[in-house]
Amino acid sequence: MLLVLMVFYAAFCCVGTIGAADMDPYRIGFVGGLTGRSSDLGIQGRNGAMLAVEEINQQGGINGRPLKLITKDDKQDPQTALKVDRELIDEKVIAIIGHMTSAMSEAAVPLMNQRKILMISPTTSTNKLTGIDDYFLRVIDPNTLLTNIGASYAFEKTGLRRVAAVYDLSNRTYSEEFIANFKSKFERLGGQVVSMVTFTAGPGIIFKNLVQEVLRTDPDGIIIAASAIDTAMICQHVRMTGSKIPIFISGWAQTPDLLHHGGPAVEGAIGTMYQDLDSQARPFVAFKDKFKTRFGGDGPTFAAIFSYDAVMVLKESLYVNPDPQQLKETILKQKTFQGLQGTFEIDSYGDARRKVFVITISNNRFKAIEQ
Amino acid sequence: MKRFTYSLKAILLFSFVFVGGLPILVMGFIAGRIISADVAQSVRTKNLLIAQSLSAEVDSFLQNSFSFLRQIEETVIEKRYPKEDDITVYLGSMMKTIKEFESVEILDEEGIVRFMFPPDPNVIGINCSGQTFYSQAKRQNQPYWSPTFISMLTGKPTLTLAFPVKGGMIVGSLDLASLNAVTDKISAGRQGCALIVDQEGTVIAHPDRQKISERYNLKHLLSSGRKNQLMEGNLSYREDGRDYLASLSRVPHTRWMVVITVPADEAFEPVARIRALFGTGTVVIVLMAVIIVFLSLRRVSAPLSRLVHDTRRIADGQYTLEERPPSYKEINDLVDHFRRMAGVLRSREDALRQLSARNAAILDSVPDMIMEMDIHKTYTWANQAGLRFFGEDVIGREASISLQGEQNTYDMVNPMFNDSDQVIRLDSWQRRQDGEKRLLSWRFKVLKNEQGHVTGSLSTARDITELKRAEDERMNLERQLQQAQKAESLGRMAGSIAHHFNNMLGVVMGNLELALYDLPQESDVRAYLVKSIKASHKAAEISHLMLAYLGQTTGRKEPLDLVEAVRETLPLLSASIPGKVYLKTEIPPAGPIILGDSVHIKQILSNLVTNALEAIGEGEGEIVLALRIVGKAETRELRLFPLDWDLNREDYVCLSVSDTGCGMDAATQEKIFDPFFSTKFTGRGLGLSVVLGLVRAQDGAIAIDSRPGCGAVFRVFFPIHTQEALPSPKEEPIVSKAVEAGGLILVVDDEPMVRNTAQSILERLLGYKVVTAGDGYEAVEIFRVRKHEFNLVLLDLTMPGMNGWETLSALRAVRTDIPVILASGYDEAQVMQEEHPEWPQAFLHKPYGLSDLKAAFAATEKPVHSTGKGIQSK
Repeated sequence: MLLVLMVFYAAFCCVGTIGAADMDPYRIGFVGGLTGRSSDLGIQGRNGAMLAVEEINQQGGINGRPLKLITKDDKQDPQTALKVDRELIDEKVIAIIGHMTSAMSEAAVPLMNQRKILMISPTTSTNKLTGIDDYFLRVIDPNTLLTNIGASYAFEKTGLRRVAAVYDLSNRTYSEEFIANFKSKFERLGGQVVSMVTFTAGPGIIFKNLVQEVLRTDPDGIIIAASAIDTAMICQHVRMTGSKIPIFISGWAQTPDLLHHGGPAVEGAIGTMYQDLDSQARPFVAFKDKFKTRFGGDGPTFAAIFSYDAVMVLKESLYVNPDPQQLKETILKQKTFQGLQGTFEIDSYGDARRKVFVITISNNRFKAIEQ
Repeated sequence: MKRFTYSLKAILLFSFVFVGGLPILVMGFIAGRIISADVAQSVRTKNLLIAQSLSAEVDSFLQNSFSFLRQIEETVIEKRYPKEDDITVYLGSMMKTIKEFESVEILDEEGIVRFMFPPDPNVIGINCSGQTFYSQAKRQNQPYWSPTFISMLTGKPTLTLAFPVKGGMIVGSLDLASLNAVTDKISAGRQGCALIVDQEGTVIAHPDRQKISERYNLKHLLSSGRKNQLMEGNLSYREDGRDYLASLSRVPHTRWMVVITVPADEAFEPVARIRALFGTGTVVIVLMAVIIVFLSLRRVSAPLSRLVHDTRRIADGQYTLEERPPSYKEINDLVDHFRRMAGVLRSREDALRQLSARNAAILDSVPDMIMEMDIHKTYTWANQAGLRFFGEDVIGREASISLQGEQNTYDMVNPMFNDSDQVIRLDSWQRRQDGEKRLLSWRFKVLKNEQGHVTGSLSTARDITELKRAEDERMNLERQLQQAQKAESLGRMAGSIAHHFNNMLGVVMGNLELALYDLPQESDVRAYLVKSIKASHKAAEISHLMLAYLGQTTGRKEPLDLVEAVRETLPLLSASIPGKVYLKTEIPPAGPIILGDSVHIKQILSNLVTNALEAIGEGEGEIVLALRIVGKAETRELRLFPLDWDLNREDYVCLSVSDTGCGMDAATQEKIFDPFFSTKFTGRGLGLSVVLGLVRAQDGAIAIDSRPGCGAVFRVFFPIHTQEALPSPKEEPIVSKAVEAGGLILVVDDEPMVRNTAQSILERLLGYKVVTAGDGYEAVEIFRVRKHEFNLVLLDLTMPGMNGWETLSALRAVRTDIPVILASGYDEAQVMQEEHPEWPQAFLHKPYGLSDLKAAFAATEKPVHSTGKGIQSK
């Protein structure tokens, strides 16, 4: 008895805190642009994914196994994107949530296909990855739908006929395609894109000159495909010239940064998106509250919403089939998933189908004006 | 050897109280915990103090920044530089004096950037009213530190200090690197660090710059309290599988948190060291104490071990203990006590063994079986009687195996096992080990344990088979005795009646024959007298039959071929059987010999066939008459009449008469031999009762096998005298030499009418001279006087005073050769069955007529034997 007591006592004295041996977690990667001018997209996406992972772990994980989120910054650079993707694969992730921009996704997909690691992008909308049976999945539609609806709205509701386009070549895959799709639809409707002005985001841009170039053809409207800050700056400089012509913005720019940096200059700007930030859907309202409590600031953007949805797609699939090797097949077989703002479907090529909202900025807030 | 004076108790107490390890362990544990907690607290306090010191420094830094902007306000806004270019130049000169700000902007009331340094054409002129810092500072009208946001200029996370002034706002964009410079100065151990998070938990200063540029949020790790907010103080958190100690201190004006975070293992390294020290020290002390106690106990335990050895021997029943060296006082006492205890135990065990042996002897000498069984009714013990009866292998056997047939024994025993305290008594047939069926009388009583639960039962059993048989036999004998007494009583009465009846009939018949003698042949009255004589004969026959039923007619018992007797009767029977009834015989050519009377046999057969015919009635039927030899065993299961029939032979001849008649039920069969019992309206009801009487007279028995509607079989069993055939009888001519006519005859009878009738017939019809006497005494007197005159004496048997036998002896005493005819209403055989000193020459059955007298007179010619059995007359 005495000896037993001694053994316990010695063990207590000599050994420090012994953590409970957790079950081997599912490792999930997140990759997006976490630094730089367009980092609002990546940071929001990361925060959305983090919230989802924390929530799942608080509920006991998936079949008893917790999730571990490993985040990487692609710095909006294709080389960096490939580097960090490899790092994630080496860290034995079962899937990667990302990338957040089309250019990065396009660069990463061949590696994913080669290593057979599933990538689920929350926000990539390029058509270049549409209809391909690969290891790239996404939880939003390709941007054709957004641009078609945006072009129709510009032509029919706003009455635009001569539109100047300006877009950022740093996310060329997205922006060029966005503008081309818009142009195609707009011109089919009878409108005309009178000028196409491009720039590459970075310190060297003189927005005053860029705007002068845009307005040179005297358009009756402007369509911008750029990040939130750059879109805000372009809007600021358009309004500084005294022009009050309608401005159409891309989904990329629809973050609080656009409101902060754009101020009155972005009031009335119009865009199309797959989410309504004013939605009263109960899961979405709960998510918004949790997000604000967790990260503060202005709350979630579309990037956070779709990242959250992307993690939940993983979770639902792992519940159905815990084998990570069959993740893709399980997701494609399941097809329908519950998102924060209702159900959405992922087709056999990994492309999602969601509702589209027409958004405008009113009183420094995004507001859905049409569905 | 030295004898210890200290008590074992004192030594053990010393060892455990002063050397035992438990108090040390407890004290060590408590002290370790207290000191560990104290050190841990001091570590936390130290870290918190560092955090508070750092937050004061950050606040001072921010105050400096704020003073810088205030200076710009005083110079640019309040002194109103006349030229805008001068303002830019001024800002440029001011910026050279401070490194904390990356840029400074002056906004007008609309939020439009009017001036900035360093100047940026992209920014000057843009509207900043949408920025949070602008709206917050304007709303609060006081300096506002913004959360981090991405700078339009640099694209990096930026903090701004917005300072509302008259007519606008001065905004300084803080270089986060300058905050890092503040935190980097703090050393928080090898792996610890100092960092700053803004009010949202987003990192704004951190040794890992990537966390700043990625706007990494630590709120989930650093928040505490019920509202999950960033609060001042210490907390622990876990990240990447590692525990950290964090100390938070708020920066007063910005609500930022300065955090000192250190991995817990590093922070509490001193605690771990103290614990290890205490643990090791305590263990060493306890080990030493244990060794000392161990060595002490060895000395103490040696005599104890010897004692244990001794007690084990006692426990094993070995009461002789070895001599031990002296030890501690208690041990010595214990040894002494155990020795005494062993002695007492040995004597008690001896006594117990003797008692046990005596009990075993008693139990084994008990003739009754004593059996013990468990709750499953399996035998667990038996005394010698039980083992002898059931066999040695009965132990372990289920009790029901020995039960003979279904007797509901278990149904009677089961209640006992349901907690009944009653002694259950029951008789049960059981198989003995040799297979014989025996009746056992059981007494059961349950056995219970201390809790009152039934554990089994103890039972005694006595073999009462013989007792039962004796009882049955006794009851049978009693029944037979009753039957015999009844029959004897009835016989006596009937005999008496018959005696008187026959006397009267004798008078009637004698007088009728005298009257007939006197009547002329042509008289019409003769016919009436003849009918009366016939009726008198019929009445005499009935009287005879009654005696026959009572067994008072023994008839002659002579070797008789039963087959021949039956065959002789067959023609007579055939004649009486109607055409519709078929008489079938199954009779061997020559049969066994019995001792009997052929007349009786014929009567039996005739009565049985008559009975069969009556059972068949008017319809068709068959009567089978069979004769065969049967063994004793075949008669055993039959209900035989008379009930007291002595079955003392091995073989019997069975004469059976079976019919296809109406049959009879059991009740009828019981009464069928009763006199005057008849199922018919016609008949006397004497046929079968006479049969029984006659059968009895032949020492035989009769059995009936019948069911209503199925006919009946009457089987008559006669003891076989011999199986060999009888030699042909020699024909001896009967020489009838009547007493000479005119001779003198002495008629002795107490009945005057009988006496007178006999006198009349002898004198008138046969021409004798007759002297009469009213009783034996008178007869002897007369005879003594005229002994040579008398030719014959006709002597009545039953008389008051001196009876016939006594008179006969007295007469023969006077004259030995005097012929005597003995007359009686009783059956000749019955009269003659006892031994007597003198025998008559002839027997005359009352009532007798003229012809009977003549026959008796003729019989007196035969010689007289001492046995008297030669007398055959009627």
